[in-house]
Amino acid sequence: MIANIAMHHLLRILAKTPRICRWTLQKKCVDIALQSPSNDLKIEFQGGEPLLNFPVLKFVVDYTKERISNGLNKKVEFVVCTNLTLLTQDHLDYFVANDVVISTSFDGPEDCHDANRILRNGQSSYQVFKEKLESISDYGVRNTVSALLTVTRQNINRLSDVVDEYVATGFNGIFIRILNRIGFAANSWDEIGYSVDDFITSYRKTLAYIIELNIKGTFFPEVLATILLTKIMTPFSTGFVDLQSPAGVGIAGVIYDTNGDVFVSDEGRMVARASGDDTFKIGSVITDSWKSIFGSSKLRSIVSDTVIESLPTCCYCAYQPYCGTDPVRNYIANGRIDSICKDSCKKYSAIFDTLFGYLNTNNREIHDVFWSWITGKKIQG
Amino acid sequence: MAQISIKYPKTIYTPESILMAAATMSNYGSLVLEDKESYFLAKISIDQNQISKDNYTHKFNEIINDFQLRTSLAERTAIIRQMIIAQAFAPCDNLLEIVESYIETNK
Repeated sequence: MIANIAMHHLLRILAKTPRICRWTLQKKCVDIALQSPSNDLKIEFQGGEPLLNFPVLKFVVDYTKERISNGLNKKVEFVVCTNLTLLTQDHLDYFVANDVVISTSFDGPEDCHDANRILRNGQSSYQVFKEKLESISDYGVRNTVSALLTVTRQNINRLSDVVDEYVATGFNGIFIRILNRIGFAANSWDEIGYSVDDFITSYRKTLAYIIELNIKGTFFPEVLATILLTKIMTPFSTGFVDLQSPAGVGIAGVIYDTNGDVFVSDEGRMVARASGDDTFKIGSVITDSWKSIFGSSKLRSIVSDTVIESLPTCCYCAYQPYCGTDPVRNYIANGRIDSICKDSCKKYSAIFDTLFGYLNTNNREIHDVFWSWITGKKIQG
Repeated sequence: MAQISIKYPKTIYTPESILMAAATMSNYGSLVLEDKESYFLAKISIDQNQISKDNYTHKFNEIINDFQLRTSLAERTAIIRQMIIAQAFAPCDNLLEIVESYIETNK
């Protein structure tokens, strides 16, 4: 189970609460998360920007490790999602000493990255990002840093350039994700948004480019294709909670918000923040127990409505064995969870068509590339 | 007010789906449902100031077909769905057993 704790706003809460309450909320979040029957957990710090509230991040990691060292049989991984701009040596010392893995955001060449991510003082964040990335190399953990791409109108027609930038910067793969029209993105859609057709066109073109790159000798997987190919060509689970039946919300991953509210996913939290709609809130660490949160009829109902074997359209789809659905996207698109977001369906259908198209060519080189992505091993010879 | 009459074959449609559509569209019109031998006759009075006959009929049938399909699917896939959800929530539902097993293993 992945437990996510949004950290950016905790500092504001702590500023308002009496000193005696310091760390109580964070302890409750960790205590609830560690009650999961799963022995393998991942705690991911998101924001905002988690490094703005490093003491809280440190407390959560330290407290979790303390609980485990006291006899709790759990293996917990830690990830911090940061834009790197505030990264210091002290942070890095702590992360390396405590096996906290860094995940960052990188949107391509300087003009593309800065178009999406300008600093508050109006200056470029690209140079700062590159410098901080360099500082991580000094610790010998550069290869553990992963990057996520945000595709906006500013870079959707230059994804090949983005790929080149990723390769040049030393990242070992790219995840080409469509922008969700939720939260802040919804407010800025006129400026940064695009159609699902535009995404499909750009994705296909970029995938072809990446495959060619791999054939020429550069091992560089496209993560979404890798996930879908793993589902198609192997019997193994991928852990990709966005596309499974039933959906992974609340059962494979969950969000602990800054006030202790528990949401089935970050998108569900965004819906609540944007409109006050608590459809996807399943409890609070302050008032509820693990069982009342994760065994609740509300969560069961949400998850039950995402069994695609029972959903119209999905139930008859040829891609059903490899597919899944997201209740929040369905709810935003159609006003009900047990429905299908047409844009999501169109996107995944198009990508499945593309991948099966490649498989159907029976091209040995392409098959080798795909298997190299699935196994994580570069093609030999 | 305008009148709409639509026949729904009993071999395909249940009265619930027709009533569901009428309830959803109740702001625009009212329904009287008649039970005939081989079909249900939906007699609908609509306020044409709010919605045209064509638009109402289109939306009404959309809701009926959606509900009918879901009902049919739910009946056919109920067991699969229950099994999948039971599997998904098994760790939660069997929490006591898991904890007891853990205690036993670590004695």
